[in-house]
Amino acid sequence: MTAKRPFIVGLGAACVLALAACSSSGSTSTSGTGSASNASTSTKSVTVCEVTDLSGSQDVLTVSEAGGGAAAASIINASGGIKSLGGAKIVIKKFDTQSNPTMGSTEANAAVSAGCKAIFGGEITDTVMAGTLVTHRAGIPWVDIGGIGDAVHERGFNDVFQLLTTTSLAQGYMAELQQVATQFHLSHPTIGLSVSDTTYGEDFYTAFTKLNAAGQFKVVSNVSYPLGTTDLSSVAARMVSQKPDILFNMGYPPDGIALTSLFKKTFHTSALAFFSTAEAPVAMSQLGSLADGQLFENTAPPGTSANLSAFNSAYKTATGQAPSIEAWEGYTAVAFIGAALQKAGSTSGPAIAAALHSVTLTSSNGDIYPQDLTFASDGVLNTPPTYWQQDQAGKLLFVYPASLKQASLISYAG
Amino acid sequence: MYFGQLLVLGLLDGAVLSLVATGFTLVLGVGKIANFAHGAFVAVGMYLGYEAYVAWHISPYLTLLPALVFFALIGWAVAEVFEQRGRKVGEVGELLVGLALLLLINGLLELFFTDNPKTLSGVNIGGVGVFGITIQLTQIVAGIFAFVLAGGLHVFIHTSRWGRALRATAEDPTVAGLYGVRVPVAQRAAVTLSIVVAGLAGVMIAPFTVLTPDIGTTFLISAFAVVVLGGIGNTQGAVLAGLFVGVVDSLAAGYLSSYWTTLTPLIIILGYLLIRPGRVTA
Repeated sequence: MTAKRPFIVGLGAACVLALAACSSSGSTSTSGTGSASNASTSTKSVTVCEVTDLSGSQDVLTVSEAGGGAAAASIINASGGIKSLGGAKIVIKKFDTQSNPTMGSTEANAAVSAGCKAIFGGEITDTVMAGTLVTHRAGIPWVDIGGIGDAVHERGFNDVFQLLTTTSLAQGYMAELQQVATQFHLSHPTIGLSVSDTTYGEDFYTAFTKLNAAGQFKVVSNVSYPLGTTDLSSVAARMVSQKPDILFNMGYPPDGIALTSLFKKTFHTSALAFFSTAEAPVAMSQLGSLADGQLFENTAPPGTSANLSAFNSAYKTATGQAPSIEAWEGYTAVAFIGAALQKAGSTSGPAIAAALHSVTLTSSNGDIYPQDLTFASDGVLNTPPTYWQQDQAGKLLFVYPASLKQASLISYAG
Repeated sequence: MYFGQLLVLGLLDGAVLSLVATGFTLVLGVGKIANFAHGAFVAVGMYLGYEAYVAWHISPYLTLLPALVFFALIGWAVAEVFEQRGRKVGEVGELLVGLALLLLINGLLELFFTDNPKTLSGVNIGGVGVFGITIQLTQIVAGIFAFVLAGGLHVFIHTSRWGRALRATAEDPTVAGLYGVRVPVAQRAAVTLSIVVAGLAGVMIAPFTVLTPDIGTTFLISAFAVVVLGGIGNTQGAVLAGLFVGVVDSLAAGYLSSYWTTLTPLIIILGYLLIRPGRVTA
């Protein structure tokens, strides 16, 4: 055997691997593997399906999303089920899209075949886009949780609902950006921006650009990067290169964590604020003191309402953990579906979709937020609850809105 | 300033690539096996360092010696699989063994540690300021480790009796056998040595690298580019080529687009093979 032969054979296989890595960041899957979360299914039951990324890079989000949904179902079932359907119990079946958008339609088809009456879940816009194409054709409503691209609802499907969109997300960020500008007396605030080159990232950027059309915030550096990039050092270098007042990453939670590490350990930025979609509990546990000064968008409901206490208890029973952002959203999605089933008095997809358009989630039917929640005509949640917290010396404190404020903003650079 | 930052970041990334490629060039040049699982063993080393720190609060550096023993045992077992199973089927069999190991290790890492990216932020031994950025000493230590390792391997291969046996086996196993070299043992030693180097490299880079179960695949593709440039079996060439690829990667990502970090190694491989196809071997 010559020296070149194994190398050339190996090189060919390496190229195949490289192409495979470029074309997909996920792994292959088994489809149609929905598993019921309840061991037994009574004759009076409604199958609600969770189609989401139960494995892969997004599973950090869906563990709590699934727990939230399960908690909502257990609360509804414990209080007598869907009364307009003779006390039918909600049974949740799960379908794993494996953080791989190509699995969206596969698992949605499996959910349709499994007899799902309504669907919730989703953490990647492209996955939800693919999945809702299938469920829309089947007339089954889908309450999307984390696939927040505006493109999801802009197609005009009347049975697709979004708890959050990139526009409403950008509105929340814009409010907090303005608070940063005001508090630090920035007359011409500058931003070092990075965007995940995905439908979600691009939509987020487009929504932000529209809101910033007047140029209140000047973007001095702007870099996009492919999904799954783990070495973000060159991205960080470009973000800080113009010494911006504010650093802003429109990416996924792991990106925010990796960038924080780089900003604090390598680049020593002088920026006053760092915005990312990193989750506070994960960031603070992984980064420790490096997370000091980082801002976290939070949809955790404040206060101690009876619904919230019931949810916290049910969630802890189901998961053994304290809830996080996606837990509230998973809960709210299933609470909405439960309320819609109650209002529709039917398990027909179009009837549930119509009810979702008109139902109001209040404290009397499971709302855990201070304000009532409704969907707008385009299927987007009206005024999604948004709160901002900042890690200040290891403590997570509310800094926005004013009604919840526990502390004033501190500079990210320290 | 910006150029300087990218240059430094590139050299640091290059040092990591050098570490990974040093073992890979060894198994490819001396063991004559394209071990696709090589990057996966780097990932195992990374998670070993991570787990030691997170679960037992032991510095990754203190795990180097136990890791050496661990990877030596694992390496010998893997070499047996390559030797006893893969090699008998031929080159394709060896490749399949490597691919199977790569997927198995990725899957096991995902099973035990989940897909969530992890960072080891607690290991902090200080840093040095250059071009307005701070280089962590952990990164510098890894770079020095790469140089020392490559130099040590070079000396070992070119001056020791064992090294001569390895080189003779690489040159012509049949003739080496006629001269008394125990060829199967030499080949297993080469595979074992490369896996030990891969594992130790993983431990060394764990303190400053984002850990994901499939990071080994990323390393593998870049390692191929480094081996092509450095010459198969040339450990010193691997270090220099690693630094070069790292710098080109960093500058391309900084001035063009982050997409170039994926494309650059592939372009280097293809470009080099087109321009100098006869200079791949050392």
